[in-house]
Amino acid sequence: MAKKLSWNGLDIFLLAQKALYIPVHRLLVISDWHLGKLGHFRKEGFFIPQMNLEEEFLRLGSLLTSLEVSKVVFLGDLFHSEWNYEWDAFTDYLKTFPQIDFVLTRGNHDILPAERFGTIALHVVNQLVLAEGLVFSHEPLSGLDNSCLNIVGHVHPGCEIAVRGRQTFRLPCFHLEDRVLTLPAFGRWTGLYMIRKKSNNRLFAVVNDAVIEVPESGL
Amino acid sequence: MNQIADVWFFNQGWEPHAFQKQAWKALAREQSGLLNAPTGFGKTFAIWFGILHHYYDNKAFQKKKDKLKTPKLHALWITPLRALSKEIYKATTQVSNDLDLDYKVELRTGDTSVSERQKQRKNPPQALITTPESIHLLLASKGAADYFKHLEFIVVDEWHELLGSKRGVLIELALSRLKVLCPQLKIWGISATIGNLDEAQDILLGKDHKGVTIRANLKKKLRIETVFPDNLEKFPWAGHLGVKLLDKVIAIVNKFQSTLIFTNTRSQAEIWYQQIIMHYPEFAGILAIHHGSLSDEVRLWVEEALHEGRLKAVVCTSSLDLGVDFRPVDCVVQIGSPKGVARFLQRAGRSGHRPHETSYIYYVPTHSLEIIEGDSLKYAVKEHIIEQRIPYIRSFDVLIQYLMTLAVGDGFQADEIFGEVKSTHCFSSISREEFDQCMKMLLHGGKALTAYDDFHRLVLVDGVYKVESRKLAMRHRLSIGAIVSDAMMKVKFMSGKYLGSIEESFISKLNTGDVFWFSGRQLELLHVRHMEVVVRPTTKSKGVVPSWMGGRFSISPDLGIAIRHSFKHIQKNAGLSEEIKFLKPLFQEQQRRSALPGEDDLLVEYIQTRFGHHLFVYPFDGKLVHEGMAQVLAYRLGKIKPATFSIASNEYGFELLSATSYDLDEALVKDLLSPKNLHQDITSGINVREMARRRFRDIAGIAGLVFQGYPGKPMKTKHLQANSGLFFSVFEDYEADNLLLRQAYDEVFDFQLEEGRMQLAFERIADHRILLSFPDKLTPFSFPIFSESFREKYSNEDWQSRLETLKLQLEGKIE
Repeated sequence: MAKKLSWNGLDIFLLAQKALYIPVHRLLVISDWHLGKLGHFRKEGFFIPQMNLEEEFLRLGSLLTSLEVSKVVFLGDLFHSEWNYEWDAFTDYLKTFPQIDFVLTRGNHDILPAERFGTIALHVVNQLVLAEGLVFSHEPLSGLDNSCLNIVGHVHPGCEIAVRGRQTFRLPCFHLEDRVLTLPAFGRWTGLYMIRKKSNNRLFAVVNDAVIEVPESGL
Repeated sequence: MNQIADVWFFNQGWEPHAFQKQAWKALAREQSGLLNAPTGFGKTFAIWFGILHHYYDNKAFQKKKDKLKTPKLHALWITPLRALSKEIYKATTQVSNDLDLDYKVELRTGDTSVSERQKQRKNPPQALITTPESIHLLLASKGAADYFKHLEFIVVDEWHELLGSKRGVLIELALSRLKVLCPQLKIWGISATIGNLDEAQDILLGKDHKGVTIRANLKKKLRIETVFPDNLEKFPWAGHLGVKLLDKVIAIVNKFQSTLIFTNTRSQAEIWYQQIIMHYPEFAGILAIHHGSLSDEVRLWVEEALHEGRLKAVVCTSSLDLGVDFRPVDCVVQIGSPKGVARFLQRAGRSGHRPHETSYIYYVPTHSLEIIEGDSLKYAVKEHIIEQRIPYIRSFDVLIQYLMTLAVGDGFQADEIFGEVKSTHCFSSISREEFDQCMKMLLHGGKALTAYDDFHRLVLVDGVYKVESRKLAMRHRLSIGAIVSDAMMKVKFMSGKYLGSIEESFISKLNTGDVFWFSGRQLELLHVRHMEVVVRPTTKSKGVVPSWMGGRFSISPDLGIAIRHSFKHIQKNAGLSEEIKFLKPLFQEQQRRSALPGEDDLLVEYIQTRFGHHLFVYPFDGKLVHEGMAQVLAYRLGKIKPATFSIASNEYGFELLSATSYDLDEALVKDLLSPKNLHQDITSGINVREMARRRFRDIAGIAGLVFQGYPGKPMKTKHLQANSGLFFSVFEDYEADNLLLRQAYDEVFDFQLEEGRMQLAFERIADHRILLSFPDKLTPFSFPIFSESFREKYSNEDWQSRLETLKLQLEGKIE
């Protein structure tokens, strides 16, 4: 179950797949995938298993086929580090969606040289702006107009929810505060940066297949 | 027959002990062996003069020596502690100086400079005093085989201490290699008394060894006294009583020349130091604090000052358990349960070192019920009940590190090393397949290499596995060892003076301007930069005391036996020890409100309060076992009627609290506590996965899966920061049969859940009569456990005041 927010009359859906979807623009937003992360560790001699790339791509693929999408924005940290073969596998996969426009707002991890992007339909920009006042970037931008909502990634927000019986859950979440909406990391092998629920912020936790707003007093 | 010893002892005006002469004789016969002797009786000399005798008087060796142009490494002396290494270094160097011998002794520890190490490589001394890690570092350098070729002796000091840890595995592996490199090698262990001394010897010397055992049968007088509070609190709770006994502790300290005050945790040490200085300002300058997180500089200063008799008392933790003798120390105070008999004895032995002197130890309970442990400890000491040290087995993380170590050094042949590894106790059950799986991790980064993958670590050159990447080799050398520490932050003054280190998790909760206690000082946080915390001394309002992870251990099975023995007497009226006599009113109150368990009874209390339904069970098996038992019980109750439980436990019992009520009777309780299907219920009832995930942290660190970064520098290696929890999930998803993952689960069952102990506890209880009672209010037994569960909910101050109110309610003083 997705959670609907609205901004200047524009419907924005927070998806449990840890993505954001704006139907009017047929726009899907994905943040911090960190592809190539395991490969990067392996290249450095750390013997962890390889990523199951097909499974990873399928997570994007199923969104692209079940929703009407004409544009995908990757909010930075798409690729974890220097080039490894996982990048080529990824670009090959993107080519199977020629009808879709892919945009990357570059993040601190995206250090691949420009020629790696040259061959594919992935436009690299610093930020992307929609007429309704939505500004997409990897990290929050300063000096934005009050009417703007900055949609960002970078920190991998998460929240801790305490329930009775002294049990706590750590879950990825969307974090809205001061006109900045931070997306959870789409990448599977990423950590969480814990955000505390305060009176001036809103947290939307990803609980299995639902996105649920965290109430002031916890669940 | 040991002329060197005879001369030296004569010059000192000393008479050798019988065990020393025995050791010299065995060493002269070129035997290996184990020496069982307490500290302070010349155990070092018992071995050392045997080594010197060999070097100067062994005929066959003289011929060998004459052929060598330069001196070669003759003996290695391994200790678990740097401080102890220094002590041995001093003592042995003194002998060479006194007798004007050309036998050179050098230290090689983490403190040794790079240039010094290089010198030791090129021109080795006759003896190196070193640590298990340093031996592996030597094995990780080119030409290791040549370097060790002429080694005659290896001595493992405080072997009992290393045995129960993965550092013991490092020793086993190093010995398996050295035995092959130097067939002439004599192995000696020095160990304090432990429950499995024979096993300790077998593990060190190897299967079918022909070594000797030498015991120093020296009787040392020990006086144990329990410190009683003036009044008995019938509703005891943890941590409260200790500081109340401050005045009594100071009175004891004043009676003696120099006292070591042992606490169980670093935070407790900080609190005691703070309290003493606050209430007895005259102790400033003659009281010091010593624990593992303080800087070397601070610790060395304290140790020196102790030696010279300049300190009246030192508040310390296990950091002063081992080794070094402080002659002026004539009294030891133990705050809180020592949790184990061996630890208690070891600490007691820190006072009155010299033969014929009496060791004094005062036991200061931290809550009323803990007073009974005074009785238990005396009983255990009298009956010679002492813990075993359980050696690690199948530690694949250490094996993977070791294989890397060899590859970084001279390289290795798989078949040869497999044979050697299999000869150790730790890996006696390893199959070739398991060994090959370890190899595959290093060769292909897992099962097999795929076409595009560019994993690299080991390479095979002419049948020898090697590491070719200098970066990898360097990183590996920095990661050698079996102690994985948390991300620590350095605490410094503005001037740059380094005080010690605190866990990152503690600092992250503080803001600029906050005050905390550390190193016995009140400090204000100025700022945090990278991994450094800059502070300044302050007199600002009271601060918090850091808590460190670790150090929260449970009582040993042996102390558990002694405690259960003490509780057998609580119903009696005559022939009671002073501890039980003192506690009598508490037991009577317990009897009045509920019931008092007899010798073969298990007391179970079911109490309703406004918090819900509390089920209390008192098996007296230690916190660790109780935690597991509680979860099994919760699981079994949940099968009857689904419910959520809050679990609390202490050393004596545990509590299950839930909003759901159950119709309990004796038969049902008996079923709940049945040993039937235990393993299955543990597996399905306990969140073993979460425990394994935590265990995996150390395993990943040791195996070289996570890199802690270069010393003193924040992680510079780009994009290589990841925690082991993430890797745990990666393995779970992609390679569930991975050996390291399996090891994490095995360690949870063996060490954390102590499944064996839990099984025994359930079996023992099966023979017990269930004493089920339904008290109206909390009882003296249940109150401390009940208050444990509060601890996690409320902040310290709030918690204390709430408990005070609650206590008044319980005693009927307020409604």
